[in-house]
Amino acid sequence: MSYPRARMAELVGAFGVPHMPTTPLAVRQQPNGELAQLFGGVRQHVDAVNPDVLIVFDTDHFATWWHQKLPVFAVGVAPETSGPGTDDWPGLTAFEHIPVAEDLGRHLYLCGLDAGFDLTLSEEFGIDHSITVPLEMLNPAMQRPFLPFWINGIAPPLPLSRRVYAAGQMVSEAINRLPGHVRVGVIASGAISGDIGGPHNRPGQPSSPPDEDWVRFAVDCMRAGNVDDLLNAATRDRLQRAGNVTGEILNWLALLGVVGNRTPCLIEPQMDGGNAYAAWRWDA
Amino acid sequence: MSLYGIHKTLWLLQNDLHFRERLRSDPDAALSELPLTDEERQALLNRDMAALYRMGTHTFLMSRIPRFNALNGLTRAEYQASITQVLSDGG
Repeated sequence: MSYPRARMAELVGAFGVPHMPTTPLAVRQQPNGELAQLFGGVRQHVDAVNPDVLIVFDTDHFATWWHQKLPVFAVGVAPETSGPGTDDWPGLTAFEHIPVAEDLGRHLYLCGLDAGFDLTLSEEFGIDHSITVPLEMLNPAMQRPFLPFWINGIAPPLPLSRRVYAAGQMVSEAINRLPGHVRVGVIASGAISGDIGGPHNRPGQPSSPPDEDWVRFAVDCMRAGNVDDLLNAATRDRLQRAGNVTGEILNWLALLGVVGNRTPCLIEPQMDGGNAYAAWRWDA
Repeated sequence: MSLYGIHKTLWLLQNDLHFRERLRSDPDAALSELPLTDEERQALLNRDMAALYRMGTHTFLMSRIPRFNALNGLTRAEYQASITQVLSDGG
């Protein structure tokens, strides 16, 4: 017996991971180490739901976007892209001809306009390690096309958490209206708490100790599906106090807009790095 | 103060390989073409990370300086020795 196939796209999974540039080398050198296991735990869920395309909520680190042009929200729409550009961090893999989900990007751009989200559109762009690292870990060989959805989580003043969450809800509704039976997965890239280059950096290291209270609180909220408390707490000032790249949690808040009140089938904090690793599945 | 010139300098350091090399080996010349105030230019040439911090420079962008050993090879230890001075003035 055959069943009629769904005529519209469907969301199948949402995933959250950090993007430390140290990751690819560490995973190659220690294939059973902590990082390999944390990313591998999320990858199992990506493989299980097997999306056709991936949307990546991402904060670019002043590579594609900086103070010359600094959109709050942007999508990249082109046949392909490459990255991570001029970043020469040891062990980073350089990718050329990464397929981009161009049609999905144009659809999201239009749905955004109709919903009152006037996204910035880029038709020529590179991506930095904040996208190449999550994709390398979760989407090996870049076999699935992806769509970059950038959110300014790094250059103050940051957008409001509730506005970012609403952008995620808009993406969810847009996917429900996307023609064709496409299975869509969504990834949030970034830290829960992080600070690079500030006066409290650990001696000899580029980063400060994370704000552990903040990481614990945010992970507990996500584990319980308690979106409201997290959105209330994630004020501009609170994020800034937890470090200059803590705004990357906005990518997670957009992801929660897609997820709704679902609870994750996996969420694992990594306190020392100020990170979390998580997966939500629509078949769970 | 807009800080745009400093942020442009540090963006170029991260993303433009030719500029990166010039800011490593000949900072004076590299900075001469950028829209910097005298105070901003001197802070960079003096490798005064505390001054850049106090002006409000984005610390992620500042971290590009030791990351790429710019300004005649500023090391991470030198960067941290300079920027931690702001802790004693409460900032």
